[in-house]
Amino acid sequence: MRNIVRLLYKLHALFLFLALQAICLTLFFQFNQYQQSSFIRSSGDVVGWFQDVRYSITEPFTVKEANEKLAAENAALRDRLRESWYVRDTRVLQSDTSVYEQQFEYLAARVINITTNQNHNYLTIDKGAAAGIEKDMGVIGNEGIVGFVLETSERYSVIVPVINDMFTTSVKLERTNDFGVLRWDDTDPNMAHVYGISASVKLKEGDTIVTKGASARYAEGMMVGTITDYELEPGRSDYTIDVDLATDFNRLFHVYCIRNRFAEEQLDLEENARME
Amino acid sequence: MIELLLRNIWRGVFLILFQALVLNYMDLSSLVYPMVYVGLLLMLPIDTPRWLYLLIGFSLGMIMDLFTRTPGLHASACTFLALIIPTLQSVLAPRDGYEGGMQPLAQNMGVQWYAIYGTSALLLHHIWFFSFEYFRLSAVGIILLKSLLSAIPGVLLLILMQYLLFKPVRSA
Repeated sequence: MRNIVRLLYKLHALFLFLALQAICLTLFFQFNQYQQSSFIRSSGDVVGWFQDVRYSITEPFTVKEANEKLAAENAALRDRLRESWYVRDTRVLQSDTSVYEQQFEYLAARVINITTNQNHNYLTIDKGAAAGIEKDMGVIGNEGIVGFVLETSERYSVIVPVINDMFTTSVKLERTNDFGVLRWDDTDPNMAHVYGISASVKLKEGDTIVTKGASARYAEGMMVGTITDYELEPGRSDYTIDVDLATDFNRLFHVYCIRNRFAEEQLDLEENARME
Repeated sequence: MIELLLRNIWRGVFLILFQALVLNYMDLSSLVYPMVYVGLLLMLPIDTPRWLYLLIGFSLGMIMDLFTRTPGLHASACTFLALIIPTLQSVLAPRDGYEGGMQPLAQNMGVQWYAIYGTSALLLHHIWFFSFEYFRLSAVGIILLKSLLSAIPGVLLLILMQYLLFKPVRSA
């Protein structure tokens, strides 16, 4: 008996180690994305506060560049206003506003925290539930898509960016409309991969990849990136395509969360159709 | 005793904030991710009981996981490091052993000893950490390379910090 007690005492560190490892690895592997978000929610405001303090120190160094990006975006948007266009053919019917209904609304927010050097990168913005941000909203930046909202607290939201290996979305080749899937499974914050585009499609370097608009998160045709390289691995019928992401995550200052006003309708319909 | 405790708390707070708010954002290269906050475990007095090592390691990792939003990943690697530190220390023990209550710092043990101790500890920790982060066999090369490239600046930073910030406590 005494020997057993002595043995147990000798091994106490090992047992404690195994017990703690069991907790860690359960947390790490068992928890899926949505359960992980409760871990994030429980610490959201405290960690958000630390990140806010850090942001208030680093912001002055980036404000000039951020403003230049916003001004460039404003100019590009101004180009597309109706006032900027000369009507060449008066016979063209002026569009009646009752034909159009707004589907997407954009909520602007500032990026207060982002990491780009890990496999599970996250991004924190300074707007939360109080500003109308909801889970699962798509997020875009000045240059292209950024990610989607994982979790919100009162004043902050956590975004899963494209450069997180949990992120995936359906995309298409702008030129031919062939569908594929975008995934980030590398360590390079500027590059992601597109899979699923059939080998029969002729690709060119520099081709544009845009969102497919199938999920309710993004509108169709939002900029994702351009093809820098592609190859056909032996035994596969689809390309492995390297995409240079349009968004520069190391220089991302402002983002827009997308509220899709028809999202609920679309998701409900899809859910009902699946159940039947 | 109280002084030792306060010293270690200040080291812990400093290392965690330095890691979470500065180092985690240093975009040196996607292959370099120095993790110096685990240096807290490396600095605990030699005769710290093993269970205390494990509990401190687990909590330290969990706090870092809150910042990086990776539940369990840092905690797992830190608990592993906490398990192997006492073994590593006995392997690297000088011929006439350690003095009781001694802290394994570069000032006490010499820079050369610390470089071996720190590098091997960080390497083992990093290999565990990156193995779980990547968790696929095809990434073995990148895991080993990243561990090595992250451990070296990590040890240099730790040694630098010890001379600038962390004075050894006289064991009374």
